[in-house]
Amino acid sequence: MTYTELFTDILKLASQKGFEFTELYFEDHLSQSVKFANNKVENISSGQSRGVGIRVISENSAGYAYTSELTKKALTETLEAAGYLASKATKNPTEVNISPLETSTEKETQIPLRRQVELIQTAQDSAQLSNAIAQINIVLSTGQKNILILNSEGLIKSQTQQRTHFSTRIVASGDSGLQTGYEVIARVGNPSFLTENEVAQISKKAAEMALIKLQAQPVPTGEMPVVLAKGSGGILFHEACGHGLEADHILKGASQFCNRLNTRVAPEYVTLVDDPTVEGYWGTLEIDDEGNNGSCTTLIKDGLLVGYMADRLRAKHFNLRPANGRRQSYKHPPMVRMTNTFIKPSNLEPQEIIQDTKYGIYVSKLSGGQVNTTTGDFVFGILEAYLIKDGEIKTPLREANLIGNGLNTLSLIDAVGNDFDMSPGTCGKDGQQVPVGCGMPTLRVSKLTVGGTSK
Amino acid sequence: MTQSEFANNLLEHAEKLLNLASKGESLEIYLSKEITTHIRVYNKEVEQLTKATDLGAAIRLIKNKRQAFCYIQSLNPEDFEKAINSLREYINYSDEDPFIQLNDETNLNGSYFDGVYSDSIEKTALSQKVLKAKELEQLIFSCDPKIKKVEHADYDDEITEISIVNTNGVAKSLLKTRCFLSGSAIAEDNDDHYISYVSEFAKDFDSLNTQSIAKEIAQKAISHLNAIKPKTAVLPVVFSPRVSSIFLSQLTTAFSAEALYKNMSFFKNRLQEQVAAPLVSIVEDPTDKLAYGATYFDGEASQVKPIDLIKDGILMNFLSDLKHALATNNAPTASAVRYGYSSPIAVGARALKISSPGLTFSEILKDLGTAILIDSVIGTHSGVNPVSGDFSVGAEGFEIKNGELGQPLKELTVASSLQKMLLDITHISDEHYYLPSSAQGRYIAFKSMTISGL
Repeated sequence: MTYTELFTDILKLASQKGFEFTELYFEDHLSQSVKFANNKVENISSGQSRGVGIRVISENSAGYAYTSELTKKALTETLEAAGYLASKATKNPTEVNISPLETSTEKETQIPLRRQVELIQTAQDSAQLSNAIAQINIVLSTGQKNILILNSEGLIKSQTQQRTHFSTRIVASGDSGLQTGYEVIARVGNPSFLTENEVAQISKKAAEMALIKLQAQPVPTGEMPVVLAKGSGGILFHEACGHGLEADHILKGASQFCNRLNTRVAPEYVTLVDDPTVEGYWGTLEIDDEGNNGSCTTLIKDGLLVGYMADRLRAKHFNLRPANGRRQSYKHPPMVRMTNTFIKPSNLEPQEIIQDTKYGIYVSKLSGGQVNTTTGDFVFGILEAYLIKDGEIKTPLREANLIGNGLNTLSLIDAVGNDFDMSPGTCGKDGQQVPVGCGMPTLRVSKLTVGGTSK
Repeated sequence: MTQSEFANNLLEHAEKLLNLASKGESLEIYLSKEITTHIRVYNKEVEQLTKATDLGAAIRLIKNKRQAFCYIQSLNPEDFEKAINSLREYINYSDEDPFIQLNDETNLNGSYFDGVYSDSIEKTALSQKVLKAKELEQLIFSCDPKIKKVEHADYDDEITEISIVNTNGVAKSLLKTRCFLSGSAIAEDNDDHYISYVSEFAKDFDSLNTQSIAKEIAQKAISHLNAIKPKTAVLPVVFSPRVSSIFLSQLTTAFSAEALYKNMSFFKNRLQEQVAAPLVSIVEDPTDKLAYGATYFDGEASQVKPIDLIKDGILMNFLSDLKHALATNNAPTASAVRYGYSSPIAVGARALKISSPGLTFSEILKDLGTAILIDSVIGTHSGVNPVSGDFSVGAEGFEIKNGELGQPLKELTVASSLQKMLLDITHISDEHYYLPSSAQGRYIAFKSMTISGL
């Protein structure tokens, strides 16, 4: 019996029980990681995770259970557990007609282990810029995930996805103590982008960052203009408004974007989208984890709030197209999540924006952030930044947090550049981690609170 | 599962799998079985219910001082054999490491559960657990009319069985339980609103105090209404127990012998030096059965014991697993941690405790006069660099004026460095709380921190 036949039988059983909606999510995930530290390949590890998550929805309740045992007995028991809530609200059995399988299995190539070790050695050599380099940590992780999704409405879809993630974390030691530099490159799809030249550049940049920060001064304190460089600054919008535009928060009234559709929330040169269809980005997918086709959702268009991101449950409520039902693994029920969220470029030269800033901070790299979606208050960490004085980038600064409020910050964007870059990240929500892309052009927020220690 | 079933089950199976090691190979197998329940209540209905059993194995193979690691979700010997064959290939590409070793502490082999396991989690019907979450939601609402929404009320539990065996003859197993109540409430007043989040844990079902958790969730939401953004200033700061627990957890990297070995600890070359104010004594004590991270043995099956890390402000010890103890010439402290079967071994803390000279929270407030109480922080993962020690987090809290709590504050950052903060500690409260964290919480006051606001 094939998996498809086995899972179809379980769906038929669910129908006989009168469950309103049943979904099976099968996942087979292989991962491998090579870690380099202390001048040696410290550890090579791998993992295989395979199982099925079953979701039974009745009215507004969702039951979920999972198993790694792929037998009819185990799956039947898992269905019983997932249907605990639904069993009190059964309806008449309906015929389950499973459509032909829609496959999207692109055959990817693996990086041989020997090649992975060679790339790491190249990266290590490139990071040895001075005696002040005290530690070089490099991690090369690869993974391939095959998923198969079936539901009681007849949907059956599959997806194969390969991910490659290469990061270097460098520690430099000097009179001012220890400082760190971090760079990452990560893509979905064919790993051939990972060349000697690419890893050498990443590694060198991380080492340079750590060395520059040895000269870094304490970050100023208080409200001031902040220029965010293209790329990793996208985390600002991921935190400042992305989470607040997830329809589960909107539905519960736990977002500052509730009841603001078609109102102005940003200047006219700000357009924000969530787009899983762009090739190679870290949040890219063909179908989401409910089997919905990936599609671009415009959230803010020319400053007007025009859309929310939704999974199946919330799309029904708001009459939206679902494209953002994601989950960490088969052990997790899907929920509304971002994919690749980015501000589109406008028309200013990045240099113009800097020259137009009398005093402020130029943030070239951010490390991550967090938001309270209800109030919109967010923080994000500065990994690499410089003081701007009289329109010029000056002294390097130590690490600190920036703090602001989503709606307020959107309204304070007063310059958007014509460049653009994306940055990979991991987004956490309700205990689930999923890969996402964040992006933006160079832009300036006229006033953000900087959490430094210098007056 | 009965305790005798537990004692015989997983451990026996794991021991048989050790036969897969070839001559010259050392093998360690970590098996874990976790049964979990998650219930989320919203608007008096169960919005989400998840039940699961998760079974998996971590395998570590060492040969010629080289190691490799993998995990699988199977107990089938054929799958193990396949996995071990992959590890044999990986080892060819790993570098030799003279400090790699497996535990040989066989004198305490056996099964453990006293104090960390309660059968109440298994014996309590699912319907009772659902009622617990519903009761929490209802109690939060009943605390105050300003509570307009309960964004969620959750009940969670886990029954975890772990067995560690290795080819040195080590064979230990542990059965532990934990259950949790957590909730998030939105309070509204005039045009202002605030959302709170609080989580509590217990080892047995009946110890979860729904009333007190509901009160804390509601109180936190209401007390922060109408908060203002403070002016930028340098002031004495008090961390609430939940925030001080986060602060102590952030010190784990500095205390880690792995970080020390990799030049990533700002405590390097500072053993027996003063690194904190003289009133500061910090102990790692996973033997304290009330602690969230209480255990009998660590991720390598070494028996845990209390470890003095800082005593009267002096750095006394680092946290070590077996490898990094040898590499740094420190005594091993049984501090190998695993975050489930899919995670390789790391050095970490489970149950950090800071001791108090005996002051109460209200005495600390009176002594400080003017200060700021921080009771909530966000952005610790991005704003705290445990290597450089830079500390800057988003925060909320209250003004302290004339020794009394006053105006709620929002949208501020509080910044310093981890090292300076340790030296700046002026008060530690007698009140202490066991939180779902690797560190206990107390009120801790710091001489000065930079508050960034208006």
